[in-house]
Amino acid sequence: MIALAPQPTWQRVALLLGIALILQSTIFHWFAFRGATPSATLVLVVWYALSAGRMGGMVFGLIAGMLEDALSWGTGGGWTIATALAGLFAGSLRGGFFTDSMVPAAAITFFTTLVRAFVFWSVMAIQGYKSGLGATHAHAALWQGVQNALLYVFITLALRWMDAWKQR
Amino acid sequence: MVPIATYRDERKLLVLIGTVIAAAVVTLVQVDAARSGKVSIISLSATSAASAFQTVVSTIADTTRDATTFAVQAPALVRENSRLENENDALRRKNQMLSEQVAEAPSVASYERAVLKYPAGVQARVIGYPPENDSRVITINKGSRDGLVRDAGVIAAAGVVGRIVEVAPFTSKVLLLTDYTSNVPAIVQRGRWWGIAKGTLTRVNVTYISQDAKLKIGDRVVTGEGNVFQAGLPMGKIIKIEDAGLYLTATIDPAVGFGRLERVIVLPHKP
Repeated sequence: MIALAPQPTWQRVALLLGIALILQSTIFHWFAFRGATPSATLVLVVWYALSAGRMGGMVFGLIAGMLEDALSWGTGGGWTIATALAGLFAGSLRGGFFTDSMVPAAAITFFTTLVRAFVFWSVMAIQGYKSGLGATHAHAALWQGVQNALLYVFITLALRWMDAWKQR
Repeated sequence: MVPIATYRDERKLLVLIGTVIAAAVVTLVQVDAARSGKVSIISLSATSAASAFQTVVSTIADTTRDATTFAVQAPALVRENSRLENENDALRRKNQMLSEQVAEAPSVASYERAVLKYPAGVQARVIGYPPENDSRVITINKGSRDGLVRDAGVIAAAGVVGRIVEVAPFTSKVLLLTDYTSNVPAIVQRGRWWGIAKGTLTRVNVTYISQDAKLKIGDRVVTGEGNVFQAGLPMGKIIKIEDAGLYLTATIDPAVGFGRLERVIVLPHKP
């Protein structure tokens, strides 16, 4: 039987979500590159979904997305739906081929970013957002996927380094 | 008898249905609020709760960034200072002659000068950006309790920033000139040619300029008289001119550096 990563407590996840949203809405725009900024919220959703599974990932994605919509303007329920489905997508890969190790999880983060961007802009199109910007958004989504995968790797390495430092 | 669904399956189904219903309700509430020009209860709660944290983090981050920039540049600044002292005497005489003109040039106007120029304006601090960079909107730390209303114009020292699109009691959201949905009447200052300034995410395009206009790279573009802004506020300089068939389109480099905005002034709303 495959040993899965333990599921984090809801208090811890709620605190991390609050920190991720505040950082994203204050200083992450400094790291904007080719129209994309890293999404700590999505990285958190992927990380949680990989330990909690489909349903847990989807519900957490729904809450995270709803808060992103609340802090944005003009997105309606775009991030709510897109991040819930991103959580479902990432959660469905739980227990797969080494999904709790760093490199496959970073790859899942990359693909989940693309899935989320596709769903988000589809929802925005339904909500009446200006069309004809597919290439621009696809380009930004690819860069955000790379940024998010790198952020996942960076956070994982930092946590490992902290664990090693504590044990010394 | 073989059960067709276990309790666990049933619970999963309920979670799935509940999530779909919740997502639909959130979307409907948000879209309905956006269409009626009001703030949804979800946005109101989240922005009010986040604004205190955003203010603290923004203040610390801006101070740290300014201090770091100063520390990095300090040695070079000392060398530069001694060189400038030598040049200073020669320039002082020339400076006196130019000072009057410089004082009136909006491109070098300081924030303090802008505050003096618009005494009825409300000073505000930028505390937030959209979490996913999907739109060009900023959050400022003043809201309806400070007398701000929707569609009030917002400026910085260098020029036009945008207009207020959402007002909560303690915060407001400002749609920047560079957003796709931003439309502002614009005038090319040199020839008084009219156009509409539309955002392109990174820059601003002034469209529908008459084919007769003799545009030049570097021409200054200012606001035209409209519902939000008075005429003559700096928007930017032309960096590219395109012939769109029936009309000309000029791409302008905005006068305001949107990536480093810290303080803005909200102008009184035009009745």
